Amino acid sequence: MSRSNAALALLNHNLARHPDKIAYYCGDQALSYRGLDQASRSFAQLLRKRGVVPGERILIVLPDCPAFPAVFLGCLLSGVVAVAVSATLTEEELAYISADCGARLSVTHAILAAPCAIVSDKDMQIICDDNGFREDSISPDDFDNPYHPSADDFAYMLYSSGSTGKPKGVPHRHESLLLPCDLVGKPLLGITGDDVIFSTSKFPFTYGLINSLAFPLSCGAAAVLLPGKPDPCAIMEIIGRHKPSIFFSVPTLYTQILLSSADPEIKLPMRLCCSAGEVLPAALFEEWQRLTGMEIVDGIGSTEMTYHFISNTPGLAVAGSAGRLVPGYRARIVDDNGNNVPEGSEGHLLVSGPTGSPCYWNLPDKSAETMLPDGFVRTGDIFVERGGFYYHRGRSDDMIKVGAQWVSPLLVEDALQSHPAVTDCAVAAVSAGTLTRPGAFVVLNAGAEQSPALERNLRLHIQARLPEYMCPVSFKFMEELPRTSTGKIQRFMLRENSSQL
Amino acid sequence: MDAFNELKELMVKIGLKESVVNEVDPTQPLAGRVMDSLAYSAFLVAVEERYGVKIVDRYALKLKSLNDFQNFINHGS
Repeated sequence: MSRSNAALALLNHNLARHPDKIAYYCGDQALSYRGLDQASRSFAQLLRKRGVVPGERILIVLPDCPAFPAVFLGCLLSGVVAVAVSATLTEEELAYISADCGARLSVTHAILAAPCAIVSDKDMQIICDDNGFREDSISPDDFDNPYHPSADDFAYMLYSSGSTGKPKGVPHRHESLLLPCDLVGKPLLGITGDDVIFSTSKFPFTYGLINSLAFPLSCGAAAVLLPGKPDPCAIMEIIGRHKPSIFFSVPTLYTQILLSSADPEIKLPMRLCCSAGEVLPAALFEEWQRLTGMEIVDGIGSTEMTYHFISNTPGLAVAGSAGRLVPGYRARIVDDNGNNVPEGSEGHLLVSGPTGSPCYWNLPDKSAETMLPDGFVRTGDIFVERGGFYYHRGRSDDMIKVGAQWVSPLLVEDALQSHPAVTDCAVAAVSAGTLTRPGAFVVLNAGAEQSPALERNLRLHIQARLPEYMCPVSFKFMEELPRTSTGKIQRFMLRENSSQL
Repeated sequence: MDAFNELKELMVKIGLKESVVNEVDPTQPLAGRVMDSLAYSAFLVAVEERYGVKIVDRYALKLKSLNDFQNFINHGS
């Protein structure tokens, strides 16, 4: 059975209605819908010319710039699976993902050193500028006969951090790009062609991909892109310059914006502020409302489910709740034996819906554990439901969510263990202000002594090896770590201890 | 040592450069100027540990400058 090619569905109606309307703003550049269509078709033609066939994977390592949607949609037009990963990954991480997905080619930007370094054969890499790739012999008009996907064809794949420390590929079909707008974007958020959307979450994250690609193109709206790090200054500069009507961000950045302002009120042009990626504390919701006069519309989704399956509704957002179940999805809250718990009781959240990924890439055991035969997917989150509203109560595993990115304690522990003063260590979630962050618990070797200088040294050691969001905010020194009789670290005990301190 | 200098010492302990800490304007927000998200979270936890207090949610979003932290430590608000 044939399905719609999502790229065609996202491009064609805009080309017919308003080809000269701007689809993307990025710094001083602007890309029209006509320009996006041509760049996408040119890239699709390039893939065909290079002999890349439908179903093969292309690794996309690009900053958020207009080249990204052009390359991503070009892959879909030609039936090639677009594997989008963060531009901040290390060479080691990129090499792992490239091998795991069996990338036929990689696409990157000349400013990124790591993706260039992992490819020895330059014919296996396409280097873009901000607007896409340029090759005089390729014309968008040469590309005809776009790929018609079958029901089983994957369109794209994103990687999510796994509890083992290795990222997991999460493949999606074409409809996963199209349905979130029909299920959330239009009915809940009221997105129209008049909107200008700014998302601080980047394209390679499912929240950013839907916010900056699926929503604007589905609705004929415009999106503003920020290629660099979304710190408060850069965010406020874009907001002042482009006056977005919808702002998508994460609690970490809402917090940073509030903390960086000394003014008694913050005037913003948006009609809607949305949040996802980590728990939105009630205190943050209330302080944002006090200073800006706007609510934050929170929701919860996942890479596996593509977008929000639980969301608040603008005008009716409830502080401290992720919202109500989005129509089109089903949810169950169950105990450890898989039985539904009564309303008001905590349990494991399972969800089912039309945008769910059918499996992890090359991980049959993990897939069977997470994607259940009845269509429900284990989220790993503990929730309670009261009166139709869902409230997050923690994780059923040791993973920590920081600014919409997962942190596996194992990765941080490996980095910490490489310090000569550390004989044993564990990493668990601790509270820092209103948010949750990784905290380190360290057993020093016999020759090392606890001191402020050593703590500073450990911080710098970690910061030199891991991205900022993975770095522990605290270091507690212990005689020994809590372990099971088989020697496994009991991180949940460290979490409990932390909350009591 | 007074609270002001103790706080500066904590900033160095969480990894900020001494030269940066010495230039901090105590009236201006730390976030976005002197501290990124990681540094701010680490500083908050370091203050809690140093003074044996828990900075509850309603204060955590209002402690912006060095002066705010100093007032919180000296007067609890």
